[in-house]
Amino acid sequence: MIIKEVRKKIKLLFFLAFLTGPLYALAMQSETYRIPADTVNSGGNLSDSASYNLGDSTGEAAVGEERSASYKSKTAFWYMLPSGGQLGLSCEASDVYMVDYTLGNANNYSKYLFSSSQECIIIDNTSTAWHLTIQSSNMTSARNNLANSNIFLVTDGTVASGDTITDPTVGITEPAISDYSLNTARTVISGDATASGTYNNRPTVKLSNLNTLYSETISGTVTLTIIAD
Amino acid sequence: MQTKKQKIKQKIAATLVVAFMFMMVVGSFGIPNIMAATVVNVQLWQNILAGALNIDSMAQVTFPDITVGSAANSYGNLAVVNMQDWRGNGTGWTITSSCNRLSIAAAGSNNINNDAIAINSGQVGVISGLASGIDTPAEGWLTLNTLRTIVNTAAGSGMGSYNLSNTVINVVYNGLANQLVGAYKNQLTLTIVSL
Repeated sequence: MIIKEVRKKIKLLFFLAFLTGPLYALAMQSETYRIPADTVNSGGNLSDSASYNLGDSTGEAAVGEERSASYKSKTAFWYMLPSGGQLGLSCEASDVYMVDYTLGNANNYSKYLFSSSQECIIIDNTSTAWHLTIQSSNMTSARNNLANSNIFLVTDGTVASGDTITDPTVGITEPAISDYSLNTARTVISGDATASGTYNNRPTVKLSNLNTLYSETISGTVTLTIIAD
Repeated sequence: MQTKKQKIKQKIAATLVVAFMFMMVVGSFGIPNIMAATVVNVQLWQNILAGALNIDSMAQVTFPDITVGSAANSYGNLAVVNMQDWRGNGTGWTITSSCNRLSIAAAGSNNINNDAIAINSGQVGVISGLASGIDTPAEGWLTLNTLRTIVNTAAGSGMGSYNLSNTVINVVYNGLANQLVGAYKNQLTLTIVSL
């Protein structure tokens, strides 16, 4: 009897272990966000210098890469991030509200730098160059239709400050100073082959020729795309 | 019995170890980020707020001298007047004009009444905005003894910045022999009015 009871418990333990194992393997995601991998460790950090990015963690039980004739296995947290030459893109905000514009402003335009809570995040786990593009639809309301030829990406060629900001800056270049009409896809930033890790980008957008619009709220869709070169 | 218990305990311990190793291995298989997003859509919003309906102030109008006893028309050119409709509602607007009589301070003087003063509105130019739906009266000269509309916009028009140029004021002097000499003055008022 005792032996039978013990055997039952062993089977139950094994079954529970089998159930909990796959929980680590699920990538959590919602409509807006995705967590491709997570881990509970004793420590870890993201660091960067002028030439390098470093992600580290401490306390994982098994780390490394194992191979057989037909398979390869990479164990531990960092291998679960986008791998195998993948680029990833997400944006913190699905809606970005520019500062209110009052008709009659002498500038006749509205310019806005995405805030740090609205930035777009590029994950680069490749060894190839890439570029981030942006394009816009028209912005409309009940009586307004601002053509996307009046919607611009504003850059100044300076990665870390000014119009359109990216952090960190390793391997990143920004187009020369200009207003780039978003009636076609425009490059926001480019990452060369040395670029690696996570980049936070805050584009600057500008809407022109606003003074003849009706006093309504206009909206449109801005599409950002990360493309491997 | 003791040996059997020991063996069972060993099996339990082995099971736990296997289970733990299984968790670590399965948890680290690195299931690929199957849908690493490469395209993201963000909705951009801009509130457009109403501004003002406004007409700028205008400079003084100067007329050429006239001689007592000699009937004459004296013409003065109004400087360019700027007006703006930044309300963003397309309601439309008009500009009206009026003036009082020309007079001097001297007691017993003869005034030049405003029925002898006429206005001929010039042309409306578009600085920025909608060009259609804006016009000036076709009647030509309008006496200023009553309120006169000198610029019209239709509903849905007039959104933007405009100017009125080449507007002329005519003072008709009837040649009255006892007209006192002096610098006659009055006030001309232009008003922008919402439809």
